[in-house]
Amino acid sequence: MKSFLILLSLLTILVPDILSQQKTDTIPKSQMLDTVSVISNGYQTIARERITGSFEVIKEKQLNQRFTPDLLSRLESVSTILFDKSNLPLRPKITIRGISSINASKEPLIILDNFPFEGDLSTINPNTIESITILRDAAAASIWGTRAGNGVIVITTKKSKYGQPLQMDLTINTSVITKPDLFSMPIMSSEEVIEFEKWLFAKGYRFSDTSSASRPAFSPAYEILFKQRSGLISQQDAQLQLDNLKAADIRNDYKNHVYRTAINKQYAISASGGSQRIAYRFTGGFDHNIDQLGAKYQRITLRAENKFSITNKLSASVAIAYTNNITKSGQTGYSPTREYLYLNLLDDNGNEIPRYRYRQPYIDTAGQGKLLDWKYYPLSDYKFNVRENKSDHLLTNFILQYQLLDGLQVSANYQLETEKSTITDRQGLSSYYARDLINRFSQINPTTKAVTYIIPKGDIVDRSMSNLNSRNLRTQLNLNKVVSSFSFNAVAGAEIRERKDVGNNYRIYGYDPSSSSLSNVDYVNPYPNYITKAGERILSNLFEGSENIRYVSVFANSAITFLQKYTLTMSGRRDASNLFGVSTNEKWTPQWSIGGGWTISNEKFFSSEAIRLLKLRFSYGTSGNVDQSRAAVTTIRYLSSTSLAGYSQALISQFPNPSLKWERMSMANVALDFNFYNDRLNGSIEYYSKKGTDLFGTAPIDYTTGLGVLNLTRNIANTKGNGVDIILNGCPVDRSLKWDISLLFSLSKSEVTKYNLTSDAGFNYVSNGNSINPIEGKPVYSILSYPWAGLNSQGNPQSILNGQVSTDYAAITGSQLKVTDLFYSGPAIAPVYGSIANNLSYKNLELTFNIGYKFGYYFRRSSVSYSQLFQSSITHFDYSLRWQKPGDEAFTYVPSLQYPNDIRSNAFFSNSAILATKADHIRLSFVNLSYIITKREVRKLPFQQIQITLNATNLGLLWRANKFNIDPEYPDLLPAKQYSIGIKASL
Amino acid sequence: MRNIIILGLISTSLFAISCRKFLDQKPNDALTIPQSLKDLQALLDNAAVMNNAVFDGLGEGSADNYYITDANWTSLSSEADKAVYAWGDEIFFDYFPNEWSKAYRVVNFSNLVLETLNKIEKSTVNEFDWQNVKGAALFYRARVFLNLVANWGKAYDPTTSSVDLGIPLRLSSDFNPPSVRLMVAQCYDQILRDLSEASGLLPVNGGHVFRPCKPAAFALLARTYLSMRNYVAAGDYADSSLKYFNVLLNYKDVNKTANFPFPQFNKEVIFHSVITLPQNLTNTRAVIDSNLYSSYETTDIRKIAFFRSNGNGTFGFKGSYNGSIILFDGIACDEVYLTRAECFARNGNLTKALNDLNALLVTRYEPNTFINFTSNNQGDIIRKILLERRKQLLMRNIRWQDLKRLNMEAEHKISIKRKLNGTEYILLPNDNKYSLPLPGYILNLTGMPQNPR
Repeated sequence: MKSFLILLSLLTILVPDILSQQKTDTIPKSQMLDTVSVISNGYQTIARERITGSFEVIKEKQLNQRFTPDLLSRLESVSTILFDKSNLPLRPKITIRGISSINASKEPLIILDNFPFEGDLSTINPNTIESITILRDAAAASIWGTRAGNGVIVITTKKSKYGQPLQMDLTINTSVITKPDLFSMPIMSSEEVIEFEKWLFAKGYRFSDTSSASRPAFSPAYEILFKQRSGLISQQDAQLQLDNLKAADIRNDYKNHVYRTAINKQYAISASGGSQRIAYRFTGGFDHNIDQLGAKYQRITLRAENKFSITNKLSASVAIAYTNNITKSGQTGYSPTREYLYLNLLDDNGNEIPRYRYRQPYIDTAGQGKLLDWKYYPLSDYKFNVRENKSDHLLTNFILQYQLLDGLQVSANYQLETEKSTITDRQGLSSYYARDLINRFSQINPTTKAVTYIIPKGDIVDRSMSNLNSRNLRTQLNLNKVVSSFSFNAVAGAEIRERKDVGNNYRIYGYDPSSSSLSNVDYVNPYPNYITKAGERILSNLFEGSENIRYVSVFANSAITFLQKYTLTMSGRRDASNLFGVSTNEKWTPQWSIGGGWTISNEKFFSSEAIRLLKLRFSYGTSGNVDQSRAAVTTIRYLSSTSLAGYSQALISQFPNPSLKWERMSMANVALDFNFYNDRLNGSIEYYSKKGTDLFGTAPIDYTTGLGVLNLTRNIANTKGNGVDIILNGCPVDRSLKWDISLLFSLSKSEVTKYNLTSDAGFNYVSNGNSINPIEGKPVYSILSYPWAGLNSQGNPQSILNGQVSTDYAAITGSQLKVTDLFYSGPAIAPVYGSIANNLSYKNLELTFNIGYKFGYYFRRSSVSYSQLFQSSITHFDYSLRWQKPGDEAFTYVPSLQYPNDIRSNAFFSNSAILATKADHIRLSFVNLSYIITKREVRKLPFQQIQITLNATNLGLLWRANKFNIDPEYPDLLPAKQYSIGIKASL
Repeated sequence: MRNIIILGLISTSLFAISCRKFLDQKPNDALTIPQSLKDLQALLDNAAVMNNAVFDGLGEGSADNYYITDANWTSLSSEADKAVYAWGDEIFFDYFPNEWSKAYRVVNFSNLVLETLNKIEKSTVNEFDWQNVKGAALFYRARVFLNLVANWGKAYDPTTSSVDLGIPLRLSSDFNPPSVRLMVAQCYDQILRDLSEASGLLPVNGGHVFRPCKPAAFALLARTYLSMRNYVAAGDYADSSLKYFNVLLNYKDVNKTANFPFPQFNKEVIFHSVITLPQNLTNTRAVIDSNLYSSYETTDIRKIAFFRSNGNGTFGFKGSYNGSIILFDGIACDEVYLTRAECFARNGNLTKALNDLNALLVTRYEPNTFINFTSNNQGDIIRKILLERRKQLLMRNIRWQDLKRLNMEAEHKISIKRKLNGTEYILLPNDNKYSLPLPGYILNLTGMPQNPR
C-alpha cells in the first residue's frame, strides 16, 4: 500500500515536469484513439501498437453469428476460450489458457465496460455489445488484481459518438429449437427393465420393505408380481399385464404430450446520434422464449447512454441500463430416475395414469376416501406447481473527466448496480406436493371420521427474495503524452468496491388465492405422520441473511513507446478486502507485470510493402492468491433456526489453517503479430508458459481431527504449463467471390511438477478428471483409472493388484491399490482445440460455417452400474452386453449381473481403465447464410440497409475418435438443434 | 495546476487511512469469532451435531438383541451395514460422514469451547453460565470417548488396560498433531476425569433434555464404572444420579398399541440423543431375538409397547424413546435404576437391589399384575437384574458394552451366533472382533494400528 502511494506521488511529481517541456509533438487526439484500433481493458483504452500483453478481441459481427439469448455461449468456437461441457463440479465451465488457480473460483472475471459485473449475465442484451476482449496473460490482466488469475473477459457496450447523425437499427431474431431426442439416451429397453425386475423379485429383493412403516413404493411391475404371489391375479393375467408394460415406452408420450419445439423471439431497437457537444444512444430489447417444456422466459432491456462535452476540458457521461426478467416454469421433463420407462403417461383412453409415491395397496385404501387424493399425476401436476422468478436489474454509471493539462486527465467513475429478484414457488392445493404434505399431517378421528388438518387445506407458497447492491468508485489519472520521440501512456488510481447481498425466504401455508388469505400453523409441536405415526414438525422454511464484501485497490499501468517502435509496459496492483478473519497485513495482495514490444515493420531497414505489420511482444507477470481459510482464528456461524429446545445454535464454519502458504502464479508470453498483403493474411502467434507454486487443492485429512470433512484445502501442488495460441485470418480469394478463413488453434499443456501426497490410496484419485491429478509429470486434470484385466470366467471384472490379476475389490477400492498402480489414459481437458470458420461472400450473399475441434484428451464413458440399477433404477444399455455365460468374457467387458450386488465391484468397474475413452472430435458448430439489401440497390427499400440471416446451430459431430457412437461432450442426451432467422435493418 | 495535483494526493492519502475502517466491516452478520459464553453455548446447543445422529448404532448392530433374515441381509444396499451385522473386517467402506467422524466432530466442538472458555474470565455475574458451558463441553466429550472406547477399544481389564489399545484422545481443537491410539487405561482416566469435573459444574436441571445436567453426568459416570466392572463406584454414582432425578414413566399411561408409544422427551429421559438409523437396525429388518421376546410375560406392557408384529410370528422394535423408528441412545432413569440395582446386588445389599428392581418393574406391568421378585440368592438376583437390564435397555446402543464387560466374568459370558446364508458365525467371549475395525481411510493417513480381527 505504502509503496503504491509513493509510486503515485512520484508520478504526480514527475508528470508536470514532463508536461512542461514541450507541447508541439502531440499527435492529434483523434488519431491517437479513434482511427487506430483500440483495446479496452476496463481501465483504459490502449492503442494496439502499444500493447505488449495478450488481448483477443471478438467483434460484434462474430458475436452476432448466433442467436442465443446469453452472451457467453456466443464466444464458443469464435475465441480461444475453452468451453468444458463435462458438468463436473470441480472443473470450470470456461477457461482461458488452462487453469491457473485451482482454488474455489476458477472462472474468468467478467467486466462490463469498466467494472466487474456482479449481476446475472443473462440480463445483458447481446445486441448492445460492441466487442468482447479477452485478457489472456499477466500484462493484460494483472491490472484486475487477484481476481484476474484465471483471465478476464471485458465486455464493451456500444457507445454514442459526437458529431454523428441519427442512426437507427432494428433487429428481429427468431429461433426454433427441436424437441430433444430422448431416444438417444443410453438406457435399457422396457423389456429388459421388466425382466430385470422379475429377476430381482425372484430373489426376494426389498421384500422387507412391504412391512416398513413408511410404506415405500414399489415399481408397477413389482406390484403386479406381488399380486400374483398373493393369488390376487392369475399367472396368465400377470404375464399379460407385464407384456403390456414391456410394449410401452414412456418416451413416446413425453415426445407427444410434453415436449414441443421451443421458440425464441428477440427484438431490439437502437437509436444513436450526437452533436459536437452531446451524444446519445438508446437501446431497447425484448426477448420472449418458450422452451421445449413450455417454460416462459421474458426479458425487457432498456439502456440509455449520454455523453456531454461540458467545456473543452470537462466531459461527463451517464449510462443507465434496466433489465426486467421473468421466468415461469413449464412442464416436467423426462427423467429416467423419476419415471418408469414402461409406464406410459396416458392409458389407451387418453386418461392420465397416476403414479404412486407410496405403496399402491396402502394408498388405495388409506383414509377410506377422507384424505386428499394421494396419487401423483406426472402430466398435469405442473399446472398446480408453478415457479416464477422475477428480477429487476439496474445499472447506473457516471463518468466525469477533466483535462488537467494537455495529455493529463483525471477521471472519476461511479457505478451503482442493484438487482432485486423474487422467486415464488406456488404449490397449489391440487399439486402433489401440497396434497402429500397435507395428508401426512392429517388426523382422522376413529369414531366420527372427521378429518383434522394440521396443515390447513390450501396452497403452499414459498417465496425467496434477494437483493444485490454493488457500488464502485474509481478515481484515476490518465496520461497520454508525446515528448519528442517518446510517448507516455499511463493510468494510476484507486478504487473502492462494496457488494451487499440481502436474502430471505418464507413459506405460507393454507393460502387461498381467491381471498389472499393464509393460515397460521404450529411449528413447535410434533404431530404424528399419518403413515408412520412418528412425530414430525411442520417445516417453517424461514431464512434471513446478508453479506457485505468490500474491496480497496490501488493500481497503475504504464507504457512508454520510443520512436513508435519500442514499447515498455509495467503494471502493478494491490487489493485488500474485508474477508473475515484475515489479518490486515495479509489482506493486501500484490500483482505486477512487465512487458515489451518491438514493431519491426516500423524499422527503417524493414520497409516492405507486403508486410504491413510485424510486431514482436513479450510479457511476464505474477500474481498471488490467499485462501480465506488462512484465517488466523476459528469462526462460527449462527444457524438461522433454533434447535427443538428453542435455543439458538451455531456451527464451526472455519478452522484456522496457519500452515497455508500463498498460492503463486506466473506467466510469460511471447507473441508475434503480423499483417501481410493489406490484411489478406493477418493474425498472431503466441507462446506462453505458466508456473503455479503452492497451488491450493483439497487433500484427504484424518477425520479423527473432528473437522467433519474428508478433505481440507492445502498447498498441494506445483504446476507448470505452456501453450500456443494461433489466430490466423486469411483471404485466399478476393474477387467477386470472396473467401475468408479464420483459423483458431490452441495448444494448452499442463503438468503437475510436485504433489504433496497425504494419502497414497488409489481410490482417492480415480476420477473423471474432476480433481487434481497427483502424479508428477502428468496433466493437472487427468483420467486415472483402476487397471483393467478383463472379465474372469465367472464374468467378474478383474484388476491388477501387486502385479497379480485380482478380484479383491475391497483391496482394490480400499487403500491397498496405490496411486502409483493407477492407469493413466491421458488428459481430461483437450490440450489441442480450436475452430475453423469459413466465410464465402458473393455480392450480397454471405455463407459462414464454423467447425470446432478438440483433440488429445479422454473421458470416462458410462456403463451399466449395478448399484445404481438396484437402488435408483438408473439403467444403461450396456446391460444387454453383460456377461451371461462362460465364454462371454472373450466378447464383452460388461460384468455379469449377480445377487447380491457387490458395490465395490461396481465401484471398481465404473472407474476402470476399460471405460476411459478417447474424446477427440470435430463438430460442425454452426452454419450461417445471410443476404444484405441496401437502398442503393433497391430504391423502394424503406431502410438504408437490411440484412437477413439464417442460422443453424448444434448440428452434431463430423468426426469422433470413439467407436461407441458417443458425443463426448453430451454423452447422455444430444443437444437439440437450433434454427434461427434474423433480420437487421438500419434506418 | 500543481495545487490540484497536491490536493489529489492529499485526498488519496486520506482515502488510504479511511480504508482500514472501510475494511473492518464484517462480511456476514451470522459469522463471528467465538468469544462470549453465548457463542459457546450456541455451539453446544447445536443438537444436530452434539446430541443426535452422532452414533450409527455400530454397537447395537454388532450385538445379540436381533437378527436379520438371509433375504433381507442379502438385499441390504449398504455394504457397511451388512458388514456390521456379520462382524466383517471393514465396516466403513467409503461412506461419510460416519460414526467415527461424527463422534470426533463432537470432540472438536467441545475442545474449541473449552479452549475459548479459558479466555473468558469467570465472575459472579456469569458464574452459572460459565460452569454450565464448561460442564456441558466436558460431558459431551466424555460421552463420545466412552462410546468410542466401548466400540474400538478392548474391554476394560484392570490387569492389562495399560497395554490394551484404546482410541485416540484429541484434547485440542488444533488439527495438525497426528492422531495416536492411546491405551484403554488412559482413555478411561480421561473419561472419568472429565465426567467428575462436569458433575461438579453442571446444574441439577439443564432446562431441556438436550442439555447435559448433573444427574446425567452422574449416570454417565455410573455407566463408565459399570463397564470397568467397578461396581462400588458405579453404584455410588447411580445413587447420586437418582438423588437428583428419580422419575419413572408408568407404562400404563402410554398408548401401547400406537405405532410409537413413547413420546420424544418423555419424563423418564435425563439426556436426549438419537442414533443415525442404519439399514440393519430398521425395525422391518431387525427381528428381535425370539428368546428375548418370549422372556416378556403377557402382563408385561412392554410385550405390546416395545414390539410390532411382522405378521409371521416374529417381531420388530417400536419402543424408542424418540417416538419414532429412530433409536434413542441417550440416558434415561430406567438405566440408572438397573445399574444401581445390579451394583447393590453385586455388593451384597440384596434387599436394596430388589427394591430398585421391583420399583422399576412395577411401572412396566399392567396395573395390579406385577408380583415382586424375591430371592435370597445373590447369583439369582444378579442374573435376574441382568436379564431385566437387557429387556429394558434393548435397542439403546448399550448392549455391546454390557456384553464386553460380562464376558470378563466366567458366570456371565456369552457366545453370540449368527446364521447367514447357510454359514454359522460364532462370536466367542472376548473375541478380537469385540474391538471394531477402524476406518481404513484414516489408518492410511495416520499409520495408526488396526485392531486384529
